[in-house]
Amino acid sequence: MKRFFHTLLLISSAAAAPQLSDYYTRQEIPLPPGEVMEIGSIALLPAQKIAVATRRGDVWICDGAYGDDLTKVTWKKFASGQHEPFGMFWKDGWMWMTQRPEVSRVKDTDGDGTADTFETICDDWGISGDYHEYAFGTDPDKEGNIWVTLCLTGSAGAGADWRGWCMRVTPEGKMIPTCSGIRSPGGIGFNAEGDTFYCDNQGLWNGSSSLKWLKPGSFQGNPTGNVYAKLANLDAPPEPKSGSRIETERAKFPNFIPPAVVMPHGKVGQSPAGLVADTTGGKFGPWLKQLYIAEQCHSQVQRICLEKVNGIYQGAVFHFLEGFESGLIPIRLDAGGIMFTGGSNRGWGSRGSKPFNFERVKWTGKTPFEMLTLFATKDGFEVTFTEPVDAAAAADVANYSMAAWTYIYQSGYGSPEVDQATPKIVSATVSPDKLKVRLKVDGRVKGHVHHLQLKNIKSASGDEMWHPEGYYTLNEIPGS
Amino acid sequence: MRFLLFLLSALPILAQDGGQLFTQYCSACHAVDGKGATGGQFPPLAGSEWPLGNPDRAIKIVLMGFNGPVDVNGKTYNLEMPPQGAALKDDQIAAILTHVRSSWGNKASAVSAEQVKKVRAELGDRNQPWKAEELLKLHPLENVKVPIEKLISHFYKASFSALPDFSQLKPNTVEEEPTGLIDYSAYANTDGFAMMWEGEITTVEGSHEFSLDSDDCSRLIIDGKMVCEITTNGPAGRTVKKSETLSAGVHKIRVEYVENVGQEALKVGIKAKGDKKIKWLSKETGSGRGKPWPEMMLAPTADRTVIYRNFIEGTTPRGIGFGFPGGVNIAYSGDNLTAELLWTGEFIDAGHHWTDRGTGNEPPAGEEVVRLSKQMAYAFTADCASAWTVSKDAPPRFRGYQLDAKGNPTFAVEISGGRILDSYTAATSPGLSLIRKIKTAGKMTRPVSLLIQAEAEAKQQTPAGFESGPLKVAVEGATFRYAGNAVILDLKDKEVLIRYTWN
Repeated sequence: MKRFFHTLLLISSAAAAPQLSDYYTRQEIPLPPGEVMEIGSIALLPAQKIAVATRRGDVWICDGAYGDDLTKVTWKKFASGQHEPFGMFWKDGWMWMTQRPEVSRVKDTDGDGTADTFETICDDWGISGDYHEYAFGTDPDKEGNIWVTLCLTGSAGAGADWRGWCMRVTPEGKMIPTCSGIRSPGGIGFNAEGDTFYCDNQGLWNGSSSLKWLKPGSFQGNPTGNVYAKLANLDAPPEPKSGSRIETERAKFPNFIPPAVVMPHGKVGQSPAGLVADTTGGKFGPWLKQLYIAEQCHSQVQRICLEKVNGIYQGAVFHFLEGFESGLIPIRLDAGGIMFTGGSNRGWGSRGSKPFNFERVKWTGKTPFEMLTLFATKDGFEVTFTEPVDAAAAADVANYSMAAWTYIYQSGYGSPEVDQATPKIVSATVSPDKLKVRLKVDGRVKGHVHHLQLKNIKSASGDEMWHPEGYYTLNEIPGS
Repeated sequence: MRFLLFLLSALPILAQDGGQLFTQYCSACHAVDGKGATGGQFPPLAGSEWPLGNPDRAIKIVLMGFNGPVDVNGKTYNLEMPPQGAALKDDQIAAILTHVRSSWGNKASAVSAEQVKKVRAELGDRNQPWKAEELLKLHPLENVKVPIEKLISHFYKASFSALPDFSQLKPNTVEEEPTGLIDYSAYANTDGFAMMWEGEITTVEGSHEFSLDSDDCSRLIIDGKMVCEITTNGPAGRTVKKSETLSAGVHKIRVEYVENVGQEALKVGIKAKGDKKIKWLSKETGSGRGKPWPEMMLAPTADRTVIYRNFIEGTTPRGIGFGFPGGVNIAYSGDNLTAELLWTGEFIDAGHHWTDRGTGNEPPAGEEVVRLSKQMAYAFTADCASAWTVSKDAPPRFRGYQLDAKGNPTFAVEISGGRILDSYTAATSPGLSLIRKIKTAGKMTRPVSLLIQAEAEAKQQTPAGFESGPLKVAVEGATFRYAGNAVILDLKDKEVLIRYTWN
């Protein structure tokens, strides 16, 4: 009996899989009672205050969201009657927001805590009255400009000026058409270097959802809004062929920038939304300069590492945080390392079953054993681990498997996974410090998503890997 | 034995796992238990007739998606399901639908990949999502008895001020109505039409109380006998009830309806003696205003306005609604830069845009809606001497608004190198009125004019004012100019006051 008990204990301790609560603490921040707080925007304010804007158009300011005792959180309504803001920041005493019809800035000039001045900065794009014509905006970039992505009409048409485009709006209100080819954005932001990215959702011309790089002058893949180039006498964007592949079509059109990281539909997420770069310098874990993606449908946060190869961004997406209470839309990371996120599932379902949520996540200080990065090399991939790896297991090619595929690039909605390939891992070489493994891989396919799965690979100290898989989008092959 | 082992090992590889696929691709909205996610915010598949019966209906929905209002298990949903035909293969769709048709108490036959393939081929190049009416015409729900069977609607486009003799009219359209409900919503928000429906209801023996309510006129006829009628124009809330003794079985029903102007409503109900609830024969029902969303009426407080920035019927997409204490309301157009709509009473029902995805426009909730104009309201005076003419060069820019301590707005427009400040407040005594003050700031390089009204007919025209429907409009500090159908105010440096008073 005693031995049996012993065995049980051994099994249970050995089988204890890494879990979120070991590494991150997720907490719901209490919302104002009785209010419907479908959060579409989060802004960080001075003195540890936080503002949120709701899909109903209210703006509230929260005090106490950084505190240890969240029961002490207080809320004050700052403004109401805005039109679905998706993108809000605080600058020099003004709340700036990108709302459906315009970029505006709002101020409380008489100091009573409630906004009284609502300035329209730029309303030069068209809206037709279609509910799907969302506008998502960024914080100011290095030049002070706000980047705005304009969703297609009904996510499929271009029924008003500049639908399907990304614009930059200067602080003076001048609108600069910047990228074409947008379908249905879920969020927009900058990477740690200050380049602009957005998430576009699976649908017409998007076989899967993905993270895309908004290189000025680029075409992002959906030609529906191309007609508006003539409004500013711009060169006509590409008219790609439906039923082709992105890899094929971008060879014809040099300004067609492929998705930096495909987030395989269903496997990684279904509705990527807001994004934020980790510039905390390690206060949220070891993921320096990586991107976190809020996922509306799966109520998760994914993690992305990016690299630039031959002038094109690409990289890998990993599963990261999960179990949020509603569909995540905006995401913020405070310099001190607290993540704030929230959202809504009105109209679009989510795994989190509450109609709306506001949550924060803190790192416990314990580092999970994970793939920190997955990058491409001339002849394969290099994995960097967060902790030294068990070198014997990591050197065994039998502990790796890889599958690759792409999607049909088509005018229809989404795509199955196609052109499947099975690249072969022919060698695995562990670095002397045991933090890296170089995989020599035969049969990689340029343009494909490469799904790397690890098994039986633990850290040198015996920890299991939290998420033993990653998905790398191989737009370019280094050294080619 | 060896054969069996082979089968066991081969099956999971060959067959798609419908339950797993459903969880992955469908459950975020329909929920793993098929009851609809988030406490029924999304349509349930458990207990629903939609995925049962002829599988072609469900296959078509999965392939092409679905859009707009749909009634499932007695509740209306108004959402959009994205098409999955380009993303999922035939065998995956078959596995998902087989799972749906055999789970949570649902009992219907399995769906094969061949069936999906056949439907996909039939649909050819179609790439539009389905609407409920279109799909129900092709594939009526098998096991649902609709309230009115063999229902046919007749639509007549003309101006009616009373119930006409329908036998003298030729319908513009005649349609089968597979939902079996009296429903004018295809023509909602238009003025001047009549409709007539004919069909069959099945009743038990005994006394039945019929109820009828409408905006404007209506008549209910059972087996050729007039039962209830509303013969004058006016709003809903004038319900007429009458009891009739009917034999068990099928009875002819005929409903006649006239929409004169303004809002519409039509509710037809029947209650058998002893029944607790009315059975509705119309799409609109007794609760609320017959809208498929819960009412969320916005209202000002006693001393502060309420703002609603959204799609307001009758103005442009950049609509900004203000409800003032006392029951005066405006919808300012951020595109055309003036208050285009004025109305009294209730402000607006936000339930439309704050439920589901919030598709479409919402009309003002109150009464006496006056549409003053529907075009750009600023022009250079030199361009509009004889008629309202807006030049394309140097267009005005909307610059937002400022709120005073009571939330009264002052809208700012930039034009001709200067700014126009356009303020609105309401007064309740002596009568309901809206007070508008217009002043210029900065030096205008070219004289500018403001369009006061161009839609309704301006009667009793004088330089100091005019009348328009229920409104009396008076100006102080300037005079109106009349050019064609337009009432124009040429702006000078001096502040101008305009008073809109409801008679």
